[in-house]
Amino acid sequence: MKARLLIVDDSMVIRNLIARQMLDERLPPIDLVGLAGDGEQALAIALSRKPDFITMDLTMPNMDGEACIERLAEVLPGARIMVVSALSDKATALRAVSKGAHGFLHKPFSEEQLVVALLELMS
Amino acid sequence: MPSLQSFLPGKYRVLVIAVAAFFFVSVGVYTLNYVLLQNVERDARGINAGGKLRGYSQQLAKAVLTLSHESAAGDPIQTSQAQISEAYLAFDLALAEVQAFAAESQDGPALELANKLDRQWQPLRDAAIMLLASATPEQAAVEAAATLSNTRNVRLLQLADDLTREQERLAADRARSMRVLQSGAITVALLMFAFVVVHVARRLSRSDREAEQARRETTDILRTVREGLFLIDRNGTIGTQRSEHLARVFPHPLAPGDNFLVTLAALVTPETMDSARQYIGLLLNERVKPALLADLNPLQRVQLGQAGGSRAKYLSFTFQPVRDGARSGITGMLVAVADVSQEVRLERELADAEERARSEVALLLDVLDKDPADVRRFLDDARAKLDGLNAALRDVTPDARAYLTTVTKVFREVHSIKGEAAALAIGAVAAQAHRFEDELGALRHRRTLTGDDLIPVATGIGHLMQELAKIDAVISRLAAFAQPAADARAQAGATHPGDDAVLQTMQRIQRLALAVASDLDKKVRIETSLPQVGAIPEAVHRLLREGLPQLVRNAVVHGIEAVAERRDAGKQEEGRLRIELARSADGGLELSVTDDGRGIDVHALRRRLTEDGHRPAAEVAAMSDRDVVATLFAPGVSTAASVSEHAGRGMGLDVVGALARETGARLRLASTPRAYTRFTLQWSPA
Repeated sequence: MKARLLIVDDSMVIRNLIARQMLDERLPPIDLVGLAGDGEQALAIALSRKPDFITMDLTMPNMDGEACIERLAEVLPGARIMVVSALSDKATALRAVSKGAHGFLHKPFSEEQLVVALLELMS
Repeated sequence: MPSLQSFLPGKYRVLVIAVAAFFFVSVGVYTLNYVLLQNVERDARGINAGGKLRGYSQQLAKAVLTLSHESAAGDPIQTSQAQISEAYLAFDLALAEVQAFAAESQDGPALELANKLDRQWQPLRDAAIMLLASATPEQAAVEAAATLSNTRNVRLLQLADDLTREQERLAADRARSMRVLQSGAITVALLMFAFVVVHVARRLSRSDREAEQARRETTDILRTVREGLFLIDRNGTIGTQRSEHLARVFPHPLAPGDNFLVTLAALVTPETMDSARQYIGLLLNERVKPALLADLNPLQRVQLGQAGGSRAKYLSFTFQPVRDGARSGITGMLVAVADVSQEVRLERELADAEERARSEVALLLDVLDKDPADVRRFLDDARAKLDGLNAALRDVTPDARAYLTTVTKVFREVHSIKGEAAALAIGAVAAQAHRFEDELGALRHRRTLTGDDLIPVATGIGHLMQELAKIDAVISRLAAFAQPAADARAQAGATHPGDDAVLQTMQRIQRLALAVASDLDKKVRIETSLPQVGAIPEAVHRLLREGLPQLVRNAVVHGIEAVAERRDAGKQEEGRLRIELARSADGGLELSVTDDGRGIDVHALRRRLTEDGHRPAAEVAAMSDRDVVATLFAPGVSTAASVSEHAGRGMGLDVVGALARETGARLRLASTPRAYTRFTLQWSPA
């Protein structure tokens, strides 16, 4: 069965960048179930399409990443979430992880770093 | 259900088995004793019965003899009869006991003796019964009984003796085997006891040795390890063991039983402490992968002591979960403290070196596309100004008012240097000058100044000099590549700068205006009008270099409105800035800078003069609009609401005013609110 992935980021460039890496041969087969531009969209898509894995930006309009992680931990506790953020301080990462995130990737990231982080998330 | 094995850890199993065996052996010995004692008792009864047989036989014989004498003498015989009755019944009972003993002991000789006794006894017993049958038995029967009694008594006594001896032999045999058995059992029990004692002692001594060895090794590790190590439980309570190095790394005492988090809270900021609590919570809850947590540790670099001081110490705390067994939960954490000050310092030095290298490269790139002669001229001017300032500082009259005048003078010159550096796009100098302006600005707003306040001013001048020296070095190196061309141009510039030099200055100023506009998010179109003006005097060119940047900056910052404001006012979004240099009819020169911005708001200027405390309100009220506008050229007046790198310190026009005076120009200002502002400088023909 394919791994179901949801990409959440308010930047289309970043969304596409992550989506492009799905084809990397080191990763298991991935079914991209959705792209969301803010936390509210992310929550709606997550509820209807039940992704196994989510990449999550933190600074977004409507509902920010931290709040979204908190809600997702309640409504979709099985999903593994990786924060992808330019906020590089440890306090932010710690808050995200204690709210339910399972991994952290700093922006800007190389393609290699992204694949390694996704592999780690999916292992 | 837990198995027996789980109740009996290996080292106790042998002990328990040994104790159980000892118990069973003891019970066996006791049971044997009990049985043997019963036999001894029976033996005693049997021997006793044998003895009784002798007594009763004698008693009977004696009673029969007495009765025989009494019967012959015609005396009453009832007493003798009673004794006969008693003796024969007692003999019967004793015989029965003896027979029972012989039967129980199943000893052949004893049985035979008992049977013989019975056979010897029966006729005597019959005779005795016959004597008792009548109160006056016949004399002949009495005589016969007496004779029988005499003969049988001897025989019975003999047999009873034999039987007693046989019983005693049996009892002795039994007692011997009992002693053997008992000795054996007790020996076994003692051996087992000895085994248990030896085993336990050996085991205790081995485990003592192991414990001692372990303790010694632990002590060695804790004494030698180059990390501060200690344990905390789930609540943060500090354990009793710690490495010796801890005291060297961690200056605060950590007593066993103290709470580590409380100690830590005194050392770090509340934000770091929040993160630390969160982090330790995550370590304990086991949901998060350890690899991820290692990256999130907020205590990897904790600063102790003076912030930024040279003696600042940096500690790194790492946490390793401690479990009782591989599968059990986390019971606490091993905390490792290391002094990473050296690492941090090295990193800082490396970063500084990189920053220096990077800024030197940036400086080189800044300077590379400039005319070396322009840069050289800027450097010479700037250095001359700074030297002048140093002299002014040195010779200042020790008086608060003189201090303030000096600071204001320094401010004005630094501002001028900043403007020129920005026009030449020499970012490093512009930034340094801007920082220095910040410091000077703070001084200018002090109520009173002391001589000590001038120390940072001298230092700031020194720093600016250093920046200039760096550029000088770069320029000198560059100049070595293109000496002839540079010489030629420098020479031309020193006498009468031609149109070429003016054109370059204008281009630079255009770039400056566009850069300022872009920084402020404004749109501006620059128009320059430079008809052939021929050679211009150095004085005018100096104003173009030093004063024009201030006028243009002033126009973009204060004159031209933001895009939205222009739209609201019905103007084009793009502001217009026109710079004209022209020869007047009488051969003089005229420079004008015009913007189509918001014009000068005289009311705002009046308010500002009053609010800033530059002048008393009454004086301002009495001033004409013209006088109010003229204050724009005095030091420290600005209409910008905040200070940016570009404007707001109220110093740009002050520089222009001073330059105008120095170069002999007439300075005019024309403005209509919401429409335009024009600055004009006029030089009479030389």
